[in-house]
Amino acid sequence: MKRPLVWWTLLFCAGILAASLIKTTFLLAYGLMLAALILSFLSLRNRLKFNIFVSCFVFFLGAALWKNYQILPKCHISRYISYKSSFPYAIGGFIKNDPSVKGNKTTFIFQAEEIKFANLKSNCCGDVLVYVSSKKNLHYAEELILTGNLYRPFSFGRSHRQSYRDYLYNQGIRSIMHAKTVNLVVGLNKHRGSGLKRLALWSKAKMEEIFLKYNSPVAAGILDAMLLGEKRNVPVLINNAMIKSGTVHILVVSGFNVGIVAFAMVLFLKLMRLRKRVRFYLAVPLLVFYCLISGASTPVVRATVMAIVFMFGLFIKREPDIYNSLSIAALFILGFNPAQLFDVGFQLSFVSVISIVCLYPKIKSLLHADSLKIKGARLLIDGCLVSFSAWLGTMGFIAYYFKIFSPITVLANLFIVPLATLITLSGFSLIMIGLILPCLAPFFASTCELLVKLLLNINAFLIKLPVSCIYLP
Amino acid sequence: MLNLTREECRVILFLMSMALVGLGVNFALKVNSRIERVVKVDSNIAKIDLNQAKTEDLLSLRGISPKLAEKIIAYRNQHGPFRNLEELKEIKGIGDYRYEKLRDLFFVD
Repeated sequence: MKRPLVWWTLLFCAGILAASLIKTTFLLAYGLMLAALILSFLSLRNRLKFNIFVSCFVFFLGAALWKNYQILPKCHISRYISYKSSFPYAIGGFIKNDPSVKGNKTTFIFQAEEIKFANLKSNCCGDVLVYVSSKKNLHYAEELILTGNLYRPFSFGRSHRQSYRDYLYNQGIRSIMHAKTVNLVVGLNKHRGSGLKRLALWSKAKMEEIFLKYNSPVAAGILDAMLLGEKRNVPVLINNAMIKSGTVHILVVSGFNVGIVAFAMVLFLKLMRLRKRVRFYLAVPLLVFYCLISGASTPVVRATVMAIVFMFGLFIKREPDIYNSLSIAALFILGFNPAQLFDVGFQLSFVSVISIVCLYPKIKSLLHADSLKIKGARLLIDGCLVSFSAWLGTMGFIAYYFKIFSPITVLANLFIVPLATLITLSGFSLIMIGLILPCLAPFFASTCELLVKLLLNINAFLIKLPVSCIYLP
Repeated sequence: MLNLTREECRVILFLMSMALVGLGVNFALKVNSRIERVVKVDSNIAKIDLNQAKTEDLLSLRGISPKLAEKIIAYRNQHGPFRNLEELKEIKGIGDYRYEKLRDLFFVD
């Protein structure tokens, strides 16, 4: 077998899946892991046995990791929630992400450290999703004391489908707080969290300022979503139109955007005539920084890890392998949070890449696309086939989770994806020019504006076509 | 069959041992985590003793004007210490609505 990492990743995922389906305990999985490790040590001279025991170890590692993830510490905040009481809870801790303000509501994830209720105060841990029913100027890592109602997320979904509660559980959130009045949030003006993330969020705010300064609100909102992963300023109508055409993936920072950023970054560093080694040392931290700016969602982390592994392969003069880099990315994400295996974002992100990697070359050779002599036609067919492969792979998942089937997706992506690439590149150029030469920024902004308008008009035209989108029962 | 060299096998064994120990430690920390510092918080900790409060203490509270602070001190001087918070209602300018707002700010020892 050429790719042991792929095999181990599959086994690791199988272990997580098996542990989620079978009633077992952490200690059993851990004991089996230990047995597999001892047997691997003993069979070091016999390669076949060694491989079998290592494979068993990886499988049980997945299972043990899942079981360990499900065990909550005794001081976890969700253990303090009482069903029958209605007394207000006061929790102390700090903001863990970039708070989002939408309409008259502020939302953020809060890392709880202290809880007070019914005259009792004690230490606690765990994340809480907090809603404040007013506009608040809050920032990442700010230390606060919140007072309000604390409850576990409800599940309104049908039993066989993933509910909002499942989604939150997959993100490691097991409690929600509604801090209703403005007076209930008391800022202590202390700062916690990572300095690098704070710097990333500060840079993000500066970039958002540039977009808003030189573009119309709609164009700024779309640029904000496409380049920085902030969807709050995208009008709902536009978002729905993109969902119908199956092109909503361009409105979030995904692997596609990270790919463009990585490519642009390497190209820029190459233009600066920097040596390969220096290019690698500069590109990796910049990619990680961009990952933090865009909120480090699963597709972004996946793409960042893949890009770093790919560049590392080139750096050490080894042939980079997409399957191996994909496996490392999966292991990296699942190692931190095994529940991500059941997350729609994770599944769609990996399935789309796997289907492009597996299906695209096969379909291409089946249709003899390489035999085309006109370069333009060949590129067009290639674009179609990549889009078709991704659509084919994700179609089942989208139909199952979102109850929507968009036959127009392949055609829409053919026009939208190249435009999105142009918008991403021109958006980054606008940021650079806005910082270095603000007097030239309005011209760059006009180009962005034009491209965004073109994208919206093409999308609007496509969704008007008959049978562009079918809602499933 | 995975084509691994002897060195690769050793590295894999080392990583496996690390993963095993790491996971065990993480589990032990979770299981042995304790609820610490459970203390009974005095419900009056953030409140002001109505019979000891000076004018500046009263003025530091939200919703108490200098005039009202003077009236509270004058009432206390005239009638002696407050026996309960309800007595606040007898001061001119403190109706039911204002009393509801003020009762959480004071306690009577």
